[in-house]
Order: sequence, then C-alpha cells, then structure tokens
Amino acid sequence: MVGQKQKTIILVEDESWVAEVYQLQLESAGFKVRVAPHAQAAIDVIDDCDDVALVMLDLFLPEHNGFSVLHHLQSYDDWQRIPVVIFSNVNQRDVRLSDEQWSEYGVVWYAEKHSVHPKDVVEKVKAIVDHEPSTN
Amino acid sequence: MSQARDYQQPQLSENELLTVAAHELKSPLTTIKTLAQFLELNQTSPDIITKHIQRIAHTAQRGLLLVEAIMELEHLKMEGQALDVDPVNLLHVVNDVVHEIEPQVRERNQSIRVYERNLQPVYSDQRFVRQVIHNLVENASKYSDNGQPIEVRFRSVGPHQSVRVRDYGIGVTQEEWMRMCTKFGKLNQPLAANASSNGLGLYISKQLSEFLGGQLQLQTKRVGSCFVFELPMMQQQQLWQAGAW
Repeated sequence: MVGQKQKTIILVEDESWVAEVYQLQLESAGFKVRVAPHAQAAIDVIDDCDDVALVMLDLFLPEHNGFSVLHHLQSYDDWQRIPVVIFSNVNQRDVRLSDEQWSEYGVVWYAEKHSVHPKDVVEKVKAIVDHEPSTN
Repeated sequence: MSQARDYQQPQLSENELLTVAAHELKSPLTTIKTLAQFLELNQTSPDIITKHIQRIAHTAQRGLLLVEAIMELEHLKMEGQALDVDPVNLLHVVNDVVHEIEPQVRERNQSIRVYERNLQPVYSDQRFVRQVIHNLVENASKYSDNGQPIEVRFRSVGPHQSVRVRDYGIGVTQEEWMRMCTKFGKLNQPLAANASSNGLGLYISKQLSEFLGGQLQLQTKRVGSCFVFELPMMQQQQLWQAGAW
C-alpha cells in the first residue's frame, strides 16, 4: 500500500484475544484497524473515521447486539455503501434472514467465526475492499 | 446527516435457547482455535508463544466451567437433587476465583480488590456458590476496559449474607437483565431486541442462586454495574428445603 492512503477496517468484536489476532493479521495485510468491543463503541468509531473500507461485525455483543450497528449503518445514506462482513459464532441458518435481506443490510459475506481461518478471512477482506469503490 | 430510514427487525429461529447456549459454548472454543491458528501462521518470540499458550489454557478452563454449570443445572432440575451443604468460607471462595482469572485480569491491567469486612459464614453448596461468583467476577473483567478496577465486597443484612461484585465497565441495563432472567426472553422476540453475549452465564448464575435459596440482583449504576449475590444464613435443613425445585 505504498503511496496509497491506508484503508480502515472497523472490527467489532468483544472477545479481546480474538480481536487482537485479527487486528494483527489485517494490519500485516496493510490495513488500519480500529477495534470496538461493543455496539456503541462501534458507532462512535464509525462516526469518527474518514475512510471506512469495511466493517467486520460480531452479532453477539454486550448490551446491544450487532444489528444495532447494521441499523445505524443502513439508516444513513452516507454509510450504506460500506460493505459489512458478519463475523459470528451464530450459524447463518439460525438467523432467519434471506440473502436479499442480508444484502439490504450491506452484508457481503457471512463468516462463521468458528469455521474460518484468519488467513482466509484476510484474503476475503482484501478481495472485498479491492472490489469496492472508496466510501465516506 | 441524511435522513434515517426504518428497517424491519430480523427473526431468530424458534430454537433460540439452544442457539444462544451453543454460541456461548462455541465462544471459548473459537478463541482457542484462533489463538492456535495465530501461532501456526506467525513466527514469533518465546514470550509471545508462552502468552498465547496461557491464553489457550485459561480459555479452555472457562469453557469447561461453563459446560459443567449447564450440566449441573439441568441435572439438578431433572433429578430434584439435594444440595451438598457445608459451611462455606466466602472469602476463600472469592480468593480462589480471583486466582483463577488472574491471567486474564493481569493481561488487561485490571485490578480486583476484595474488601474483607462484613463477612459471616454461610451454609451452602460450595460448588454452586463458586460457580456463581466465578461467573460474576469473570463477567466484570470481560466487560470492563483495560486498567479498570473490579471490587468485591461482603455485606450481612439480617439473615442474609451477600457478595457484591462491582465493575466500572459498560454495564448491564435493567431491561437486558430482565430479558436474561426469563431465559433470554420469549422465543418469538427478534434477535435485535433480545440476546446479547452476557446472557447464558448470568442466567445460569441467577438460576443457581435461587436453587441455593438465595437470589441474584442487579444494581445499575451511573457507570458499570453491581451484581449482588445473596445467600441465606440458615440452618442446613431449612436451606435444603428452600433449594428444592
């Protein structure tokens, strides 16, 4: 990423050791990573960042779950284009949303956290970010 | 800022209880797997390797405690088992728990202060007392920021002895606490209004507290929360009678 502005990934994850691993892996891939341990912190960080390239979002968070962050992103035209990766231990089939409904939330990939490898997650995130036009 | 638009709340599957429980059990396993994958991917120093191995061991212990608590709770409910009641030194139990979660607390530069005053002996089932206190203290650590303090106090009021775990983290609202108390809320309520990652451990703690003849209450604070785990200082026979499902 020499000569280019670093793109920012917001990682919303309350398990601090998991967040640390993925932060390190994404930073090694050239991203700037801001970690938010709960929904309100995620909303504050999104408000604060200039160039959010992608949001990686856990669904089960303390106090308010990940859907409150999705609602916040999709409620305002400025943020609707930010691609979202769901990063959760909840199996996708246990959340009764169609692919179309996920798409309306801006979700481009549902990663079941327990079955993915950090290496593959980073590759997929890079592919998504490289494919998307700049946001914010 | 552009105008906000409304969106429909999504529905979780009807098997919400099992979903949330499965998630809670998957959580420590995913952490263990992720830490191991990190070590696999990265050449790193012996100190970092040691740190991650300690994290793996600690998380495995956390998962095992959760499994045991769930199994004990279901076993007790099905069998109508009596409590195994003996004198319990709450200070010893609290100190054991603090020692157990010390790796997690030290890493995050948090502190746990135990105030030893106002402590009276209780008769209870130490297995479950320990489980409740472990859940409360671990929760307090997990949902507090780095460097924040956690305080454990004791209080005797009339025939009751309480253990109070105070944190200064993001806190639990009374609304969320009520949802947890009803086993994550009604099945037909949407995920967005219902489940959070606090749920199962605190729900188990509340059930165990009541099984012990006591109760678990939340005191909301301006900053953080205070969970009050109250136990009756009763005769052994009375405690057994109070603890029957």
